[in-house]
Amino acid sequence: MSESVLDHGYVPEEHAPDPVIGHGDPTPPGKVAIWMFLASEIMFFIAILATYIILRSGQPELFKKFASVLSKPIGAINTLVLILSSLTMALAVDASQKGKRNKTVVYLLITFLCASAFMVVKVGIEYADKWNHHTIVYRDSSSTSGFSVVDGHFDAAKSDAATIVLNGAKMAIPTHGQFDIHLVGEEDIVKKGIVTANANGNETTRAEGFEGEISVARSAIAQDINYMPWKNMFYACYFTLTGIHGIHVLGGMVALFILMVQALRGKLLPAHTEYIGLYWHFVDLVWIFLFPLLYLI
Amino acid sequence: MTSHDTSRMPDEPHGVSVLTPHHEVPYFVIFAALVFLTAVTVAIAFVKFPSELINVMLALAVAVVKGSLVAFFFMHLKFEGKLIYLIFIVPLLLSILMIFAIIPDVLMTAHDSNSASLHLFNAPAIPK
Repeated sequence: MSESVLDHGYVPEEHAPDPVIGHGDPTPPGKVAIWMFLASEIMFFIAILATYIILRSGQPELFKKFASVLSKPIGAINTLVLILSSLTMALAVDASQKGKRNKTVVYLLITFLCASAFMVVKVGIEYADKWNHHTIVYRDSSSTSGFSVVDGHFDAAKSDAATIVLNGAKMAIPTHGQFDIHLVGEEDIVKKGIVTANANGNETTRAEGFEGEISVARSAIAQDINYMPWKNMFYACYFTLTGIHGIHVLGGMVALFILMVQALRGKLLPAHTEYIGLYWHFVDLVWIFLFPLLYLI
Repeated sequence: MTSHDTSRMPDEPHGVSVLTPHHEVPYFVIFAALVFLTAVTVAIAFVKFPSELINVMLALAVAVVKGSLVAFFFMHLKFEGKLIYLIFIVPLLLSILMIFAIIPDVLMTAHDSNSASLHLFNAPAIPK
């Protein structure tokens, strides 16, 4: 053994790359581990994406109608925020590997703030908007069917114990045809308004639905659902996909926070930063696919 | 003994790269490209193509390009060895297989739309 040390200038047993595994692949075990984790994540996300594709293909009009209600600008802003966080994460990894503590802390902080901004927009603006968006069926004596439907956003300031005030659209529930509170959207009410059919089943009159501020007595409410997963299949998919992605963002934020605290204390963890960076870029990558699939098509 | 030792010698001095994992990547250029592509994909979404399939395919094509930029440059895939490729290519191939596997389901439901939303208010009310 000592001969070979002299011959080649290194200790074969301990430091020589193993010729069996890829001619001494220098990939550190930690990196292999995080990539294996990401591999399982690919399988996880493709499973729920495939579910989404199948469910969407079953009700294409429904999905299209409610997907078009999602705000493209807000979705695009969130996409840009995540892309920016990916950039600063890559820069943080670079700074950490070069031993630049201050730069590492600053870049990690920006990444963390971007992640927070993403979650604030996602939950504080988008989810909150869906939570406040109600479809209510209520008893209405002015309607020929005895019921009216209103779809709009809950106005907390104007509502009280006896009445609920919504900003949206209202129409009488038609006496003929099918009606499902899970399938009706604000757009339907505004566009279709009140439809009455004649004896041949053809439309005779089409009055525009009322749009604006609508108050409903709480005691008259027959059905009330908001735009959460129980609204319909589209929102079930929307909340499942974005919710699971959001949980990944939150998990990444915890890791980023720990890295940041360690860097602040003077402990740079270049390898760990790189692995968490890989995870973070993956979360960004998932959103790059979710954004067009939910908001744009 | 001697022949055994030579067999242990690596073909190339791969091990050296462990100590210098710095890759000069034009991060800001990649970032600019991603921002540009995001703008492109949003712009495409507002264009009405004759077939909706074109919209979907274009959106996915842009997403694939963006995803590749993130993977190859931000995730340093460009500089990784065979092992990392081997790890992620397997689930990627399985994912593609999965998408092909659901095609029958998609085709079966596509023309049998139970989307009542279409006929929500103008379904023939009275049978002729």
